[in-house]
Parts: sequence; C-alpha cells; structure tokens
Amino acid sequence: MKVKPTIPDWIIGIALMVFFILITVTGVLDFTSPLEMKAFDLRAKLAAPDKRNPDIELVVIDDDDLAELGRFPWPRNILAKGIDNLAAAGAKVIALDIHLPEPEEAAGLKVLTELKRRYEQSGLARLKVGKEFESDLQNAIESLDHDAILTSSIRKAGNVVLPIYFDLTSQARDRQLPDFVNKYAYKNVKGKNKEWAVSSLIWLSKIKPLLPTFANAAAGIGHLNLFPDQDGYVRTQVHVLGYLKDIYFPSLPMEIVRLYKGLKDEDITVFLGEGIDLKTSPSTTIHVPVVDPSMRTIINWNQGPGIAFHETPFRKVFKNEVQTSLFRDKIVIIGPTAPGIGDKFVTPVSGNLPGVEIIANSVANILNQRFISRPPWVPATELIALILFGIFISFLLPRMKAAPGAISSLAIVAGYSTLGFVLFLSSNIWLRIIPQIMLLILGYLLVISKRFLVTEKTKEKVEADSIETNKMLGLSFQQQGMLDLAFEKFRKLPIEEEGVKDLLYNLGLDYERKRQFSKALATYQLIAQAGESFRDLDDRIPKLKHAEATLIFGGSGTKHPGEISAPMADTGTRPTLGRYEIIGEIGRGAMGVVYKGQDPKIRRTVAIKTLNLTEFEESEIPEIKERFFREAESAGLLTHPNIVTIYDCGEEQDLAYIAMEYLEGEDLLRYTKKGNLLPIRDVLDITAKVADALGYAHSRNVVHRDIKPANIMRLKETGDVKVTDFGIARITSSSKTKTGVVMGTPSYMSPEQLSGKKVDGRSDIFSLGIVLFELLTGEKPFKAQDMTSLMYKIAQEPHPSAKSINPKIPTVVEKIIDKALEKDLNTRYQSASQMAEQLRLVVAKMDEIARQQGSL
Amino acid sequence: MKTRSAGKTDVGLRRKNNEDRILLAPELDLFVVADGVGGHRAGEVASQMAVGAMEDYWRRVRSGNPPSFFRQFDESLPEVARHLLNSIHFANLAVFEAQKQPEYVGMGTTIAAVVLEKGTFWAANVGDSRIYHYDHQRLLQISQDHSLAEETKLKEIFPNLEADSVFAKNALTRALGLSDTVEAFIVPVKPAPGDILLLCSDGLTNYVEEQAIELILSDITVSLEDKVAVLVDEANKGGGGDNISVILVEVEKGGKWSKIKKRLQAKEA
Repeated sequence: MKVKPTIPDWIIGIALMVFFILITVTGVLDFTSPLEMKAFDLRAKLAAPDKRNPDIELVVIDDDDLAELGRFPWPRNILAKGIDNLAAAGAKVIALDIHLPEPEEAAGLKVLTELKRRYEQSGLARLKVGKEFESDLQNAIESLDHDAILTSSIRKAGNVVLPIYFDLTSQARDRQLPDFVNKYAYKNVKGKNKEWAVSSLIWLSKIKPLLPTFANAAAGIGHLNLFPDQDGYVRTQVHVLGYLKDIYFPSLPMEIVRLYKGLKDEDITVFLGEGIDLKTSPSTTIHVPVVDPSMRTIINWNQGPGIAFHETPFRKVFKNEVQTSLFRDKIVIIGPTAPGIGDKFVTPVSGNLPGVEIIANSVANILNQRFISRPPWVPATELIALILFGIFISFLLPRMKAAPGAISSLAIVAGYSTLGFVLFLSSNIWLRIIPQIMLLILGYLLVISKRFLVTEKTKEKVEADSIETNKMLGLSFQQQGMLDLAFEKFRKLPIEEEGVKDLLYNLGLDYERKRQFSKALATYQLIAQAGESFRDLDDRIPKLKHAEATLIFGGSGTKHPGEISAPMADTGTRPTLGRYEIIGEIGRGAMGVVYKGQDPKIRRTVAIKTLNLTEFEESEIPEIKERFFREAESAGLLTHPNIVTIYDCGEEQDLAYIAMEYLEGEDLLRYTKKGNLLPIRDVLDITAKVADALGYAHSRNVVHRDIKPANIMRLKETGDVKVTDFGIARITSSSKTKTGVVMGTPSYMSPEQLSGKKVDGRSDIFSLGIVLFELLTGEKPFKAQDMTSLMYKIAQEPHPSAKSINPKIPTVVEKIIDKALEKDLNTRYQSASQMAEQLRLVVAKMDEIARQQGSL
Repeated sequence: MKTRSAGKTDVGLRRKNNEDRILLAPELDLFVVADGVGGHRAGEVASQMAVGAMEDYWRRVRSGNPPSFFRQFDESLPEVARHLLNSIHFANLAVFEAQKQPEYVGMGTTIAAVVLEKGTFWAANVGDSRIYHYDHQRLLQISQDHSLAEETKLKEIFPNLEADSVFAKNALTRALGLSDTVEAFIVPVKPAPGDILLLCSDGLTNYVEEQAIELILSDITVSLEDKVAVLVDEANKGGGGDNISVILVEVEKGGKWSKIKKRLQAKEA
C-alpha cells in the first residue's frame, strides 16, 4: 500500500504566516482591517471617558429651539444676537458649525431696497416730509439686512471661527482664491521636499462659497470636512488638507485651538507625514500625531452625545437667560443637534453623533493631549506576533493533541487580545489584534481540519491490512519470537514509510541471533532493494552471504517439541513411526498431525493419523488409549468399497496412530461453494454411495458421528467416493475433564447429538441430509451468527426449503432431504440403506429421462 | 484513585506446563489473565501472544499515542472502553494470524482484562476466565462465561447437555484466535475504596468454591499478596487439575486516618 504524500503542516502554516505579513504590511487585500476597525471601536468605546470637559461649552439648536424661534435656517439676526450675548458673557472662542454660503434671501429687504431706489429717483426726496420718510426707510432696510447685522456681530466679538467646506465630489478647480485662504493657511510647513509625504496628503481643489463679508469679519476659518472610513465610521480628523497647490489648510478644531491658545503663525509647525507641533508656551510643545501620511489623526473619543460636553440650548443664550460665568473664557461651539438639520455621524461611541461633538472631541484631544498613537515599536510588535503565531501553527500545533492544541490556541488568542486592550485603555496605544488572531484561527482550522480529513482517510483504510495493524502485529510476533510471522507482516508495510527500515533491520538482527542467516539476509535485502544505503547494511550483507554459504549444511531453525523430525535431505534416513517410514506431512486434523508414510515391506503408501497423548492428563491417558484402539479396531473391521480401509494401529512414545489407505483425491469441501456445485445427478450418486457406506457400518454397530464434506473423499482417478474418519470424532472428544477445548462449529450435528444423548446411525443420516442440502444449494440449512443460536436452530427450527434456493432440485429430492432432516428420530429414515435406495431410484429416473431426451 | 495489585500463575498439580499467562501492569492500569488452549504447547503461545499484544497496545495508549480503531465499536462507550475492546480485537488478530502457521493450528486463548481509568474499572472478557468484584459484602462475577456449561439458553433446550455430550463440558464457545473477529463482553465497575477485583482462570473457579474465595478475600488482616497465595494453594488442595492464575486489584482507601486505622488493626492482629 502506498501512502499519498500530503503537504506537511508546517508548509501550510508558514505560507499562511507569510500571506498575513504581506497583507498587513502592504495593506493590499487586507481583509482583516474591517474587523480590526470593529475591535478598535470596541476598545475606543470602552476607553472613552464620560467626565465633563471643562474647556468646551456646546450651544445646541434642538427641537425646542426650532419650536420657539422658528424654522431653520433662522434669519441671521437671531444668530447675531446669540453671538452678541456670548461675546458679552466672556466666551474666549466662538465657533460656528453652521455654514453661511451666500447672502440671505429676504423678500421684504428686496422690496424696501427697490422702494428706496424709486423714492430717490422721484421728486419726493427733495421735500421736507420726504427726509423723515427717507430715514424711516433707511432704518427699516438696516433692520432687515440681517447679513449686515451678523457681520457686525462677528466683527464685534472678534473671536468667531467660521467653517468652510471643500467640495469633495467636484473635479473643478477654483480660478480665484478666496481672500481668506492665504490668511488662514498654515505658514510653517516642513517636509515639502518629501515627495511621498506631499503626494499622500489629501488634495482638494474647490472650496464651497463663504460669504466674503463674514469671512473678512471672522477671527479664524477652518475646514469642516470629515473623511469616514470605508464602513462609514468617522474615526479620524484631518487637521491638514492640501488645497490646489502648495496651500495647507487647517481644520476648524485646529483654528479653535489656535485662537484659544493665542498662537501665532510661527508657533504652529506642520511636519508633513509626521504630525503638527503647537508651541503653546516657550517651554511646552503639543505634538499632534498622525496615523498615516495622509495626516489623519485618530479621534480619541469622549462619551456622547450629551455626556462629556455640556450643552446649552440656543434659545437660552438668545434670551440671555444663562449665568454669565458659564461661558467665561471657554470655547463655545454653536451647532444644530435637532433631527433634520445638520449632519449626524456614525462613530465608535455613538451611531448618531452631531457635528458639534466631533469638533469638540478633536479640540479636547489637542488641549488635553489625549491622542491615540502607534509608536514605532507597535508595528514591530505586531510583526513579531505574526511570526510567533506562524511558528506556533506550523510547528507546535501539529504535534499537539486536540485538547491541548485547542486550549493553548485559545490562551494565546486571549492573551494577545488582552494585551491589545490593556495597551489601549492604559496608554492609548493602538495595537492591531485582528490579523494575528485571524492567522491563529485560520491556521488552527487548517491544521485541525487537515488532521480530521487525514484521519478520516486513514479510517477508510483500516481493517486487517492497514499499516498500523501490520506494524503492531509484526512487533507482537517479533516479541514472541515468531520471526517469520513478523517478517510476513513487516514486508506488507511500505518500505519508504518512516521507521519501517528500522523494524526490518531489527528483525534481521533477531534472525541472526537465531542463526537463521538466509532469512536475515532476505530481510536485509528487502531494505537494500529500496535503494539508499542503510546503517551498516553495505557491510553486513556480504558478510552474511559468506556465513550462509559455510553454514548451508549445518541445519538451522527451531523445531517444535512433540513433532517428528522432518526428513533430512542430506542424510537419507527417514524417521519412522511403528513400522512405517514417514515420507511427509499431509496436514493437521482435529486429532493431530497426519503423515504420509510407507510400509517398507510391501511398498504400500499409507496415511497415518496421530494422536499426541501429551495433550491429555496422565490419569486420563489409559482410558483415552483404550478408547482410541477400540474405535480403531471397530473401524478396522469395516470393509466396504466406499469406506477408507484401516490397516493398522499402534503407539510409539507419546503418539498413538492409525495407518490407513492413502487416497489420491480431494474431499467434497470445494463442491459446497456456490458456483462450484456438482451436477444434481452426481451429488445424488455420491450421497447414495455415502449412504451405502453408512448403512453397512451401522449394520456393524459403528456410527461415524462426524459426517461432513471434509470427511468424504472423491478419488482423483476413478471418481469413486470414500468415507474417512469413522468414529474418530468420539476419540477426540472423549476427554471429559479436559478443559478449554475450543469447540468446532457443529453445523452438521444432529439435534440428539448436540443434546448429548447416546447416538445411533440415525444421527449420521441427519448429518448426511445436511451434506446433501449443502452440495445441492451451496448453503448450509442452519446458519447463525454464534454457536448458541446455531445449536438452537438445529434443535428447534425447521430448515429452509432446498428448492427455494436452487429451483432445479426435483421435488422428490427435496422430500428425501426433508426426511433425512427430521428432528424426530422416529420419523427420520430409519436406515441409511433406505435413503441410499431412494436416492438411487431418483438417479435411475434422471438417467432414463436423459436417455429418452438423447434418443429423441 | 490508587490501587494495589498482586498476582500469580501456577502450573497446578496435574498439568505438565502452564498455558496460563498473567499481566500485572499497574503502571498502565492494566491487568490481564489469559488461558491458552491448543495442542503441542500452542496454548502457551496463544496466551503469551494475547498478553503481549495487550501490553503493547496499552503501552501506546498510555504514552499518548493510541492506535486507531481497527473496527467500529459502540460509539456510546467511552474511549477507554473502546480501546479495551480494540486491544482485545488486536490480540485476537495476533493469535488468529499466528495460528495460520501449521505448528500453531487451532490454538486459541481466553482473555479477562481490566483497565482502570478515572475511577472506573472496565472489565472485558472472552471465554471462561472470570472477573469478580468483591465489595466486602459479596463476591459478584462481572464477567460473562463463554463456555458450553454456562450458555444458559442452551441448557433450556438441552437439559442433559452436561451429562453426556460430544463436547467437553467446559468447551469454550468463544475464544481469541478462532476467526478474524471476536465479540468480547464488556462491563464497567465503579468500585469503592477497599473493594477488590479478582481476575482468574478456570483453574481457580473449578476447584475452589465461590464462598471460599469470598472468605479469603474478606480477611482484612491478610495482605493482598498472601491472599493470592492462599487462593492458589486452595485450588491445588482442591485437586489442582488445571493451571491456576489469580490477579487481585485492590482500591486503596484514601485518607491518612484510614491508613492509620488499618495499620492499627494489622498490629492488633
């Protein structure tokens, strides 16, 4: 049997590891990152503090504000009033999360402006009453020009930061730069010579409009674009955006910080690809880190919405109902939270976070220097973990049993993810855990499923001939000194299999120890044939060949006790038993060894059946011997053409023997197999002859007791039939006290024989009935799984119809079988001769029909 | 659970050679008695092979490298029980393969084997070598005899089977080595501390009454080794017509107190 080579576990493991390293390092095909993001979110959510932030106040526009102050967008004078009140309350920075793209469309203002134009052109303007009207008109226009009101509020407050939006979808490029761009863009940008850093920045080319009057009045302008990840989650803030060419524009949170900390242009330095440094005082610098060259900064979240940042409804500010100390020296961010106005974002802490909170989070991160970072040692750790895990699945896991393998894999997963969480929660360090865990899980599944498939495959190959049984049986035999049997088993093993050569080699050594050099040689040659030199065989084989040549006449091998020595080819003398020379062994029967012998005086070939008396207990031996000779004698008296002739019996040393006619032929066993059945006529003829023999023996009070196909011989030359082993069954079973005899299968025994009653000739008739049944159908009439049920069936259950198995059987023959197989002694054939007679009648009838058909 | 064990095999008074083999392997938690049958000393070979095969098999199981199952066994049995059946199957194969050699034709062997795992004994047997469980109240045969004399179903059909049969009364209806498969009987025992398991060949049970065996086992002043010796002696006194094999496995009583108590009792005696 050849074992298909399979890919070793370690190759699979290493390949998997290399694959994971490649995808995580390059980011190409990195299917782990969505899951890693989920794991990140979980950690972020766990790490987010719910403590109230002291520096930032949110002024939110909620549903109640809309109900009280009207539909959004409000007239801009409302916003202006809010800003006025906040400025009065001492807010340090006021930021708007409200876009102010173009002039307010007020229908009344248009009408008034038109009215004023027409009035100025008319003659009314020169009248005195007209002057008064004109000033009324002017006042009305001014109170309705909300944009002008708001502009003046912004200018008056002097600390208002306004948002702009870049157009992310349009490919168009701005022709003319808005005035504010150069004013607010970063001035100190380092690393412009690093091409990779510049090119990996997010570059945009179109700014959505912001009314220039507002822009001129503002103290700061920052972009409010957010860049969600592929799964729609906002996790980062981009504090530097590239605009057109060589312009680096800040974010709104960054502008808030600039104003709040009162930073000048030279205090802020952008290092492309690395981060932003804010020099807040001569001695302190805040470093805002980024996670990638596109200058994304991970937002380290606070719990929200409405938890970590205090919210005040806009209407209270509008009506000035707030304690003034609330806003003093604080950053105030105004923005909508009511559903339907303003955007809501999906974030790790909330799926519904208003824009103001995102701004507040980003600002708070910078002010508190609470950043999520990935120091250089983190990617190194991730790589090392991947390599270690790869080694684990490649080399350790395949050697582990199922339970320890599962437990240790689980422990590693748990340990590594704990490390990931602890680092995050304690030090705000983001260690990737998913690629490593997935490598381990995938590797585990592969190794385990491969092992499962392989064992499944081998399961199919088990049974008696499998490699493992052969190996184990061989070793067992070798240990018992049964080297030949061991050799038989070992040679069935695939020689290329690991350890097989060693097995054979050790067996060869054992052979040598027993001085069975030719067998040792055969064993070694089996190894040598596989090619490659093995241990010292190149040396050992020639030596052995020499030794074998010198020892050829020495005789070797072990002899079994109680056995007659095999004839020696070199001496020419033959062992004898009684007066018979032993020529050879024919076989082994129930009783003992059967030899072929020769009567030297009359040159007659005989078969000698022996009984080894050492098998029995000493006290029994006289009785056994007596019975043996009595049976031999009574059988010896039988002279019948269909009975094997007994010539002689005797004993020598521990052997009792019977010498009988030597037959060149075969028993009927081979004709009981389906497909090899004899013609019906021949079966009937043979059975009739056996019945004749039985009838004759029964008339002399000899019962056979063991009629079965193996005891009926068909001679090679004449085709004649001879029954052997009369009465011998009785000899072998006579030992009453002998324990531990294994029963043969009593398939041919009669019910009365099984039950231990004294039997007569009618028992043989029953057995012959079974033989007839079997020869005609190829099946035994009584079959069972175990002996107990077989005996039960013979005693109790009727046999099946022979005709149902072989329809060609004539009805009359079936009747003969039925009569022979009667369980009741008295309804069975009372004599074998009667059965023989009926069988012969059928044969004659069949011959006659055949003749008639032939003559027709 | 800790056990102590002792065992002996004796040729008896009437046989020339001992065809029984025993295996005491406490390190493997394995105990085996095999009673070989077959002419020309092949019985010895068969029992020796069976015991050797069992030892080989369980050495592999205990070293964490168990052989695969050679055939289907009842999946509801725990793994250790299936390994016991599988090891008997393996021993059967070994004997069966060996008896194909002309000099070993017709040899076979009984087997009675006990393995211990997680506080449970699994007892399995083929043939008429027996396993008993003694719990200081009664002696209970837990094995199943596979001999003509014990096949109760047959007794109903053939009332005078034992009186005069073509078969010897003790002829085995099952043994290792007869065919390439064998059905073993298997049963679990959950012993209490102090309980004793007895494995023996029919050389003991045919010559010593069960009551006498029980009496010998019940004597707590006699050491396990001496109990084995006494049992063998009794069988020889009873005739010693067959080889006698005895293995005793005792579950040790846990705790220091019971140990001290036992020592005191032994001193008093």
